[in-house]
Amino acid sequence: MSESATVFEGEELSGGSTPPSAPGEAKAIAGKSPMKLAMMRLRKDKPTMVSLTVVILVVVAAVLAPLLVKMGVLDPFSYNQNLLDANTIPEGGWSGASGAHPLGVEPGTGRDAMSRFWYGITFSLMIALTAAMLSVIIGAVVGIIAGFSGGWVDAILSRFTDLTLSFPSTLMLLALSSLGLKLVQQVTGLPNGPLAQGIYCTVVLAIFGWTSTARVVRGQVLSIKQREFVEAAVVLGASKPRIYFKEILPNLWAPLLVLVTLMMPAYISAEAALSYLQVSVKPPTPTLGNVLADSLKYAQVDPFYFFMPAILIATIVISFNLLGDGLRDALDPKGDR
Amino acid sequence: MSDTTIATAASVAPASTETVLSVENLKMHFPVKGSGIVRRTVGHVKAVDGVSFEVAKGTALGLVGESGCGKSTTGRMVTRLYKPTEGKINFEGTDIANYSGKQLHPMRREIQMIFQDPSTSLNPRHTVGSIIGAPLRIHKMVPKDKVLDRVQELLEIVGLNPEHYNRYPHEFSGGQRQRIGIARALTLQPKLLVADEPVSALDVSIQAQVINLLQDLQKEFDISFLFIAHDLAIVRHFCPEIAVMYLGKIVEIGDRESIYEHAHHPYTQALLSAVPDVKQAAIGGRRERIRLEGDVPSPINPPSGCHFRTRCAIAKDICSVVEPPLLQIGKKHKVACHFPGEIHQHPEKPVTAPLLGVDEFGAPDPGASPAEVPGDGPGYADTWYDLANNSRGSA
Repeated sequence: MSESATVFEGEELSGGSTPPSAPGEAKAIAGKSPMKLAMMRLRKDKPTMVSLTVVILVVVAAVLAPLLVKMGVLDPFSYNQNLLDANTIPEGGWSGASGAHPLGVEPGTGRDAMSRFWYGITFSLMIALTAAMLSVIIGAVVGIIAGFSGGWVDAILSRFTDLTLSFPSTLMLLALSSLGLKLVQQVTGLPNGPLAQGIYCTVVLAIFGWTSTARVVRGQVLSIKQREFVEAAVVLGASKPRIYFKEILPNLWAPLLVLVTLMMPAYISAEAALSYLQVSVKPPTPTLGNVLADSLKYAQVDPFYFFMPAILIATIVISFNLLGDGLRDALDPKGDR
Repeated sequence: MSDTTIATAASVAPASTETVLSVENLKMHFPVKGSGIVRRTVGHVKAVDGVSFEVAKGTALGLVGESGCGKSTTGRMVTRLYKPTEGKINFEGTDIANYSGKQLHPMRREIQMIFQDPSTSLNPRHTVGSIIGAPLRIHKMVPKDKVLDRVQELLEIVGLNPEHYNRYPHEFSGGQRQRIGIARALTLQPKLLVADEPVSALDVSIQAQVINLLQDLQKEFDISFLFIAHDLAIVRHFCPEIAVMYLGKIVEIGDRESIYEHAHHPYTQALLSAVPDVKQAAIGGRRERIRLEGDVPSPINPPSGCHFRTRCAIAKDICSVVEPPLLQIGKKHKVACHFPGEIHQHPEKPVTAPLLGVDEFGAPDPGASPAEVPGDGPGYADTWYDLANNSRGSA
């Protein structure tokens, strides 16, 4: 390789027929994938980075919580009646916060507040994440099939999506909760407990939540299908699976990732609402909804305990929302070049 | 007027013996579905309505016409992106018009396509190496460890840095991307390349480079081109033979000189008059500009008779009744007009009427004896209709 040979970045000016001069550079020229570019953009986006940090902390906390409970560091179930006064209100300000109970104890029972909040995140996040993943998978499959196939398959799947969307899902959830719970117990063989209740809640959220994904994915597939690189693949003789999975699916990762992050906060709030309505995981197991429901009774007598779960839920939801927004901006193909 | 035929017959492009592609009476009618649940077919868009042409080995046929005249649809049928409603696509003697996906697979190697817009014809999530290497993997042409070598070779052929194989399409300029698209089309060493407006998305300064690249490749690899474009200057430069399309039909087809110097169809004449002429501007003279009024009629419901009659300055009664056949009027020149002639020299009486057995108003003429129209079908016949003395001529 001659060192003197120059490499033109823009080969345009060197004329059509002349082959380029031999590359003199020894170092490999690596291309930046669209994902890498998105990560670069993401790093410059401060609010998104902050929310990403919060989300990572929340996820780590959720993973650690069961371990800490097992180790006895967190104790969300023990009653500490000795810390309550005659009206079952924690003694001292700030919900009776102390070294042993950093966020105080729960009025009425005296259970450690921090343990209940922390452990509550685990259940809520698990339900929300599983439901979001299930929704996106169901939605993506339905959307891809509808978008690719077109014709009557598309018509049937789209109408089915509309039908699901028009279902009063919350009412269904309430009305069928005992029946559904029994069904879950029969299918999984689990006893009636937090796990079976959580599975019921997850399944119902996913069954009614995939519609938006299906619509977005179908639209994306319809537009990608028209792009010339798909036609180019057909002309090259590529098989259908190759076109679906190698040509089109890589272009769907970005919207799917954004959909999951935007679905998470919706499901966290939905799960909180359902817990509050006593159709999700039931007390005494803490979830974000359960602790919120407990806290509402003490709005006047113990404001600190009243505000904590609300602030917690709001922080988590806003963080996920901001992360989703930031991801959407970073992954926007219009941001390329 | 008598020199018309002579001149046309004299200026014959270097004869190519072998025909790579022969298209016969090709039709593409897209169904128009009504709204509602049943969605029955309420009509057809006759995007391509019976075209016939031939592409000889190592040459280029240019397909020109305004937007929506069916150029691209024709190209897409030849590459079998669309299945033709009717007609034959003979590629090296085999009719591939009705081939199924499996049967087509080996043919895919031979017929490749260059797309119009390089920003959408390359998958943004694949590296250049994987885009150009994809055909090799699909057809298992080279062992896996040799794919990269071939990719780099191809990048060099199209004038790109072979070290750039692991870059992504968005890191290249428009002209470079089109070169990537060309490299991909070349990977399988095709015999026929369908170039669907390969330069119209590029800057004018880069168009020439890409065209020159295509020309070099054509010489080097002996590739035939079906070159679809709306830029008449580029087509003139690139294609020894040109077909002019209007509303799904070929209205005039012939070698370069017949079309550019001796156009006989009023539509071709109008198209050519729209091309700015630098020489004329330098002299200071003004050339006559033929303005076409109105828009192209809907291909769902094309005009009766001649499709062009609604915008034609010389249309007469017969044009709305009888469809003009593609009549061979020179050794390599066919025109579909009842009144074919050079500009301002169109005949008064329809020359096609006696051949079709109708009178000059298009009504059936019991006295006339319909004759075989020279020029129907792909390719050129040895004898043709001599406009100068209304008789059969020959080479």
